[in-house]
Amino acid sequence: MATEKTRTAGGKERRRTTKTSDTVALQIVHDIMERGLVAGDRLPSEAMMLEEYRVSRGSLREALRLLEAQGLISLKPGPGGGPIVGVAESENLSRTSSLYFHLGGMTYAELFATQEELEPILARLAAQNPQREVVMAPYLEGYQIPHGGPEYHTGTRNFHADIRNLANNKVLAIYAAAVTHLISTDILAVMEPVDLYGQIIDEHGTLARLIYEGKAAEAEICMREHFQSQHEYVMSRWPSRLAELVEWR
Amino acid sequence: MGDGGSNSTSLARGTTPVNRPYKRSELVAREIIENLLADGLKPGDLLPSETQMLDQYQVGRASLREALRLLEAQGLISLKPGPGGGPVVGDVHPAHLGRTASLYFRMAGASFHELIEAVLVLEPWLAELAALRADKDEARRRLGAAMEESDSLRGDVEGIIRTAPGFHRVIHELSGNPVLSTMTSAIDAVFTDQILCTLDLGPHQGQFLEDHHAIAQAIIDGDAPLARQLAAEHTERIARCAREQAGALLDRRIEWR
Repeated sequence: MATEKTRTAGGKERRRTTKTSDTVALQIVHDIMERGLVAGDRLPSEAMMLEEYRVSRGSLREALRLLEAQGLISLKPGPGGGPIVGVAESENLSRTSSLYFHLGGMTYAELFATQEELEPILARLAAQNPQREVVMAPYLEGYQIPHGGPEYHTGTRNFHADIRNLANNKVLAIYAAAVTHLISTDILAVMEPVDLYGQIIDEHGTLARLIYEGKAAEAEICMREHFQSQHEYVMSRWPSRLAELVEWR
Repeated sequence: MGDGGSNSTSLARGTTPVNRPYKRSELVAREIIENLLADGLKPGDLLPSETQMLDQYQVGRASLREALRLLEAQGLISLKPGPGGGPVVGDVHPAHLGRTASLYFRMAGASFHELIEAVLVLEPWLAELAALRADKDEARRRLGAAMEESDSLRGDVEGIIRTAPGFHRVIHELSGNPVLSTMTSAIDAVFTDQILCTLDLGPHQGQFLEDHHAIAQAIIDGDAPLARQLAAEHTERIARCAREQAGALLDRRIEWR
């Protein structure tokens, strides 16, 4: 499986030679999915995995650490501890992606531009999902959350997560969430633009209505404007930030 | 759209997650990257030896090795074995990001249908952006070079598959947004590695090459609507080919490999 010798995208010696720990990591992910384990479930003990995968302790530990570094498992220390299944959180992908963006010399302005392009596409797809009315109903007129604080952040975050899930494309959703997460943590969480929060919540109501009614093209435009106005706000108050390289965190 | 994926794992809902604290090895990995950037090292350059790094970062051998392994697993460095070997700077190739991203796609249970849909959404749109924004001379030069390479391989189906992602990558880069371009090329790499490689493209290669020429011309001419339309038709042709030849595979989940 991991030793496949096929053509690779773009060709030319890009595939690294596969190490035992890579193969084991792959097998662990495969088994998590096969057994239907979900976040928080316990993985077999180290002793059992050593038995199962027939590899050295060193290779197994390396495999577990590779998965841990991606947030896909966590290692609970102490007695009764051991490896636990994590989540395919886009936040974790955002950490890895930010490393590539940083190395590739990419800036926050470019991250903004990507958010303005990706999230609207997901809004369009969401407005075409038959489930849209059920999912968007709670966000229609009358939806209120505080303009700031943890409830605000959780509420707005869930709103966008619901739209991405409605879009029904996890490939695009994972990327969009990774980009939005980077902007939230590296820019918005630092600025805390409370005077903008009322407007954001109002716009969410408008967006929810458009998606609810299945107005795909309008939802796409509305989502783009939603982020553009946030970006203009940041640009006018923290222009230097935009030219900075995306941090690897 | 999708394959009813809404009943599988949903993504990222709930309280805002706090970023996991860093392990020592991750902190070392970060320092290695920062130093590599500060020193202006390029792909292929040798990093300091393990002994030098142990001294420089003041960490245990195990943490350093783990840091190097973390970077190696992401393709950002490679470990050259033997005497005169050691850690070497890798390249920031989107395929590496694709490999890592596919691990997330795998864990989230994303299907190949979703992967193809993502390509169908992204390709036409980046072609449009390229036509809209790219510098004409740069577009002519870079697309011309990519086309020349694939034209020289006419008849060699494997050669076409090998060079096609390069052509598309040029388009992505011409879109003027490196973040979007990197992500799209990464998704493309997963698509090529896991689907395209399994198809018999022999009968279609003439058509695909013609498509590439037409798309390239539309981008060079700055005709955005045409570039978008041609790229959409091209991608749809490839998707149809995948559905016809690998129909059953498409219901499966994306692999991580």
